[in-house]
Amino acid sequence: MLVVDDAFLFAVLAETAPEDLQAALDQGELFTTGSWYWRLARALHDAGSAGALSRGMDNLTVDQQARVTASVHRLPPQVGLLSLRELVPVMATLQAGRQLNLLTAEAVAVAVVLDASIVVTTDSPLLSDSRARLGIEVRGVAP
Amino acid sequence: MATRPVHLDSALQEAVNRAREAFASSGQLRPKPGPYTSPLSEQERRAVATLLRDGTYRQLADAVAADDPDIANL
Repeated sequence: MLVVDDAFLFAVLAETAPEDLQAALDQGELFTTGSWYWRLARALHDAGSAGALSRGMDNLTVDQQARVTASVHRLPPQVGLLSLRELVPVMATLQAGRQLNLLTAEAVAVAVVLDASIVVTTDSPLLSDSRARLGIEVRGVAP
Repeated sequence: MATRPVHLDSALQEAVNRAREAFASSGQLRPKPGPYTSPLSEQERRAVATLLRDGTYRQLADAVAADDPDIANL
């Protein structure tokens, strides 16, 4: 099982991710987290993003640009997303004695529960600490 | 690929076991497999790849995270 960050979620939804991630999606072995999904949705819909997004897609019509941003509105059933109802107790236990933000606590909890690897475009000190402490595999890959 | 948990203390192991049982009961441990096809056109898909490769997406994600530490790469 793989747990992907927001950038890789965007990539797999557009079928532009590395082959192993697209294969994991088709095989029902790819998860993300609510926090990464939320960051993706905010990055594409925040009022402050409009200018940069428009410049980055200046070869597309306005309608095409809208289709790109709307492409994340519905996760296909092939993407796994665990409910916080059951995940929060694990996150709270991970949190004991450490300062984890929501993003990291959720990602680490999902990886531990699923015995999965985390695949990110950007590593972070909190993830690195969890990797060392819990033996979680965190793969940093260029998008 | 799998994790190799080496330091799950008893409290964490207990919480993980409870969560696994609950997720198994609700069928969340395995997403529905099947071939996925993006709704985007080839041109739109190329635009997404460019946004991701040229750093535009990372800038946007960092900008929203700057106002919300809970979704930042700390």
